[in-house]
Amino acid sequence: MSSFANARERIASQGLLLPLGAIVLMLVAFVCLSEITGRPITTANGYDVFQQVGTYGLVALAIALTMVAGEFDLSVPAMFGLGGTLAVLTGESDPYVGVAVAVAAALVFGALQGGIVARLRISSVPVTLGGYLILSGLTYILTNSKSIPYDNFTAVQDLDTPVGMVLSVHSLIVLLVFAAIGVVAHFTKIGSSLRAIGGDRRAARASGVPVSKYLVATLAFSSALAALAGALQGYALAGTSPNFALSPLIFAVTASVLGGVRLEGGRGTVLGVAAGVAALSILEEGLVVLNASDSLSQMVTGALLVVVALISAPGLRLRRTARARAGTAAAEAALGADK
Amino acid sequence: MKLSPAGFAVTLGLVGFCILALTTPGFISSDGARAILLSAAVVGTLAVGQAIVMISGNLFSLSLASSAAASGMAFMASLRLGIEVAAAVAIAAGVLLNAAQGAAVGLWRANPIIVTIAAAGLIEGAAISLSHGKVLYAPRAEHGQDFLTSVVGGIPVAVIIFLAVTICAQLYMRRTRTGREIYLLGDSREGARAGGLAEAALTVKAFSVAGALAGVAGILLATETQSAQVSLVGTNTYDAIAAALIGGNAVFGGRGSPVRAAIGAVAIAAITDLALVRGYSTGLQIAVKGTLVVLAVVIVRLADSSAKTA
Repeated sequence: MSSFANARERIASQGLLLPLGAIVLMLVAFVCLSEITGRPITTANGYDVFQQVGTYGLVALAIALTMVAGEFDLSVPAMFGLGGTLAVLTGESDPYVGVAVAVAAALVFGALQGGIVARLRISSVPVTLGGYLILSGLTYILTNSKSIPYDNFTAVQDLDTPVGMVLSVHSLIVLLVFAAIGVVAHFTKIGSSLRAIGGDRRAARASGVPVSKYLVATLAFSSALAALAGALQGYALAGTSPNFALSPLIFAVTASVLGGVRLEGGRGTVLGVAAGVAALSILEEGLVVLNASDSLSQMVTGALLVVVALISAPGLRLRRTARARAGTAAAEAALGADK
Repeated sequence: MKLSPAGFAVTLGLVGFCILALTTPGFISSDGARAILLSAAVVGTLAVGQAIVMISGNLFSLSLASSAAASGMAFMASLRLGIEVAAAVAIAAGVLLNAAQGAAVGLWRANPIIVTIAAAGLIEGAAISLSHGKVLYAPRAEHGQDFLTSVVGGIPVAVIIFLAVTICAQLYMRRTRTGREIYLLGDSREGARAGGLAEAALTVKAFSVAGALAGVAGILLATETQSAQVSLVGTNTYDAIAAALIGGNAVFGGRGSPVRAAIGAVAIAAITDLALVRGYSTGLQIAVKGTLVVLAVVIVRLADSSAKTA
């Protein structure tokens, strides 16, 4: 086997075909776009792409982690908002204190949600929907339904300081968090255990994986990531307001699915999610260059999500190969039996 | 009679609510009851739709309120042609938008959460583009829309419509063959497949009925505010799902009923009304709603497992 075929095999086996393909596709589209509009690609475009990664990257990673474990944390967008609010309210003199408060509160809340899910063996979807409402309610209470400014301008400027050509401190922090989680997931058994829990929970339990502990930890961790993202965003925008738009959720889910994560669980890598986030950020930068309206961007992202949802739907996979049919059916039966 | 923990929790909640209600001056009155039902009409109609999606075993739709807002805009845009035409256009819009999602979920086995999140983005984006971001107002001339905001026999027409669609949905789910098949599908996909049920067609039907209800909700929404725009989606998405869950519907299908969702919506409206009279903040109301959702989900789950072990 040639080394090229070898590499291809490895990429396919790790489910990186879709995310890497998406990045290449988006880059090609972006280059074509610059040819058509006659505007050269500059490092400013790269900077914007990474700023977008910095804004929503961790939100996507938070939702993706729960999806890999066969769960779905709907409270993530609200925790993103509450994290920003807590950080802005408590981090006026010391931004680190604000981040610590936001992350600590998120860990407690997420662990509570995870505890309910693990102990009662119910789906995280309805539980975290309740969590979403509780967190948005808390955000309205804390902000008194108003925008709150963050007056620590040194912190705002520090976060915005460019690093190298295309990075800022903000996007660098997010990339480092991605790298750290990726390393941990790859070199410990945590990653494969999460995939096992998401793929076939009964088998995971039978083979000695502490499923309940993992579920509590996963939901606590997804909340913490969302709160961290919210805190950074609150500082970056020098303020926060109780706003629960659909866009963070759409971005996070699209990036995750584009990154090779499946909502049925059991599939996905941190690298894939990073690639999905990057691909989607390039797309959004392209829309900005095109001067597209917000509603058009929302439609394009929505359409992309429909396409990836259909591509990764079991229905299509079933038709594609007989082997996949046997595998998915068995996994579904096991999943259905467990739930 | 021995009370289960779930029954105990529900009873405790009801007693607590009654004490609060009785000690709040001006809360219990026929005017109050009418106001509660009126404010429950839109969310209640949407919640009935969510209940049908839930019963079919497809979790819930995160785009149903977006469909309702789009239907309301279609209603306002076509009201000049007469109320019958406008109502038909609105309901058809709701059915088409949701049948397409039902097809993606039923035929392709795509995940309902992903599909409906994507659809919400698409529908809202398209509605803003088509209306150029403007608010659509009711035409000055009367085309029959005044009837929808009138009061018949002391009951607002919107409330009558809400109660009527709830009863229709209940009869559809319990008394027709299709309705019972949707229950079977939600209860066990394998069982439905073994029994030779047309899985995909049933999913499309469940989503379509929910879409028709979204159309009705859109009409109620538009006539209530005398205008239609995308921001009408507001908190309806989560409120409708919350209502269906608080009413005691199981998110994994096969159980529950449209009437339960309607009761859940009335309960939420009553609590919101009580909170308003008592002067509690919006934030507190939302947080209470969320807590009730979690409690309802836990109670339904506990009742379910105790029924299985009994």
